[in-house]
Amino acid sequence: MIQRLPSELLILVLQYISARDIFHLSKTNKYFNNSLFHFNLLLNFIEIDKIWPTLYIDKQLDIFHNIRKSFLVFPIIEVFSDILDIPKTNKLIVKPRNNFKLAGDVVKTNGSFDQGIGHVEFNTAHLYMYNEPPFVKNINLQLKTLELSLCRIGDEGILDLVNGIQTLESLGLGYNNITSTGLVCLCNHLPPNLRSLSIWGNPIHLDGLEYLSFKLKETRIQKLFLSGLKIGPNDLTVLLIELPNCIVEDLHYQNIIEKDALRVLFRILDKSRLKKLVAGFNNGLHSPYIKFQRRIKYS
Amino acid sequence: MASVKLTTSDDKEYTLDRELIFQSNLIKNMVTDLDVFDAPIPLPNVTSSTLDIVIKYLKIHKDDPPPPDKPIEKAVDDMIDEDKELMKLEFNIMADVILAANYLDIPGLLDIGCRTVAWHIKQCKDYHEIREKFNIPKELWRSEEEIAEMKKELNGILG
Repeated sequence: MIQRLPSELLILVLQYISARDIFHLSKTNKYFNNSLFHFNLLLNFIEIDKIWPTLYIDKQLDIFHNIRKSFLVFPIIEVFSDILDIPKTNKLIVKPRNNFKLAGDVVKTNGSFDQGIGHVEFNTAHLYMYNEPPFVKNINLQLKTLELSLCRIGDEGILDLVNGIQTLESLGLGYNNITSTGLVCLCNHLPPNLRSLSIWGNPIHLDGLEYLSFKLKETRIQKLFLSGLKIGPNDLTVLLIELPNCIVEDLHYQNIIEKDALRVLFRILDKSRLKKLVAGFNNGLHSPYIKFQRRIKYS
Repeated sequence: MASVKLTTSDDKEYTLDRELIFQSNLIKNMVTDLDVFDAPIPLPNVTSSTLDIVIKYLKIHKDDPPPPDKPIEKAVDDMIDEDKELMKLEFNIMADVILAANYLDIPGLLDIGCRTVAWHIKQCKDYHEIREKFNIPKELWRSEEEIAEMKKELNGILG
């Protein structure tokens, strides 16, 4: 029934329900998710002022929202969905600041939200979320840093994410079950000013690394975190041969490295712009190069 | 008293008092601007069963003062008992009434319709309940075609 209502009438309904109910409605199906979280719809129709007071009354949340026209408010609702279910006696204070850090694990482990300012900082330039599946689909701010480690994003999440990250300078996607397919998709939509990329701990195989290596020369990436990938002992070679053509200065590569790749590594070092290399031979016991079983720091 | 004739989408003709139906801004403007009192006004978007409910509302509120220009914010269930009784409808019929109120430009009816829907949403604990209550189909996040197209594109890139 509700889905029969056009957007302009849906908005009239939304004015009477809390942000939490809007959040729930958005989860019912694709239509509502798109309708309720779409940036243009928000800007054009929803007067955020009318929603937040409802939120305030219903859940006794005290929101200082000088970013109210920014639709980052909705990712917040997503992340805060657990908080919104807290008893009414609790009070959450969120004060947007210039250095925003939103760490899901911190928020979750704190039973009392009375001193929310200390736990949740909020900012439009840097966004950090850990252990939370964030609503990454529509992030479309002037974000420079986005850290989304352990957020269970997966390849499909990457497809959603890539549309809204073009302003980023630093992107962290460690341990998100991203495969080569997701990496290829990411590589095709890398933000033009990206300086740092972290994809450690993802099940990325040789084909993914190969494509990343191929794309590196078109990017401005200086820091690359590639530890814990599912790649073979000599697969580093595909990356190394591209290093002289790109501007990577800081490479973290703690994967198994064996004979052939090592040869290329030592040959390539002087030709590349690397200033720091962190490489660990985490399979050292089975490696003929057991003597290198410590971290090499190359400066 | 002057009357106005209306024809619904299912070809049922209604003759209503001018004062009553003039709560609809659409009809009021049509009649006063176009000066059509005799010819029936077609309502292609409104069925007779929906119009019956609309007329009930108009009768309840026929003596109300004109609504203020700036809407007053009310609580979701802040409505008179007659309106509450009137809005005890199946959701599909309620949607018809809301759409009709929007089409006929009856702000009061539109408002109570939207507030009733909002009230029902508020009664739900989570999205499962909303989905069940309003019979909202659970759609895939992406259609099979979209997924197939993506895979094809990615496979092309991967060679």
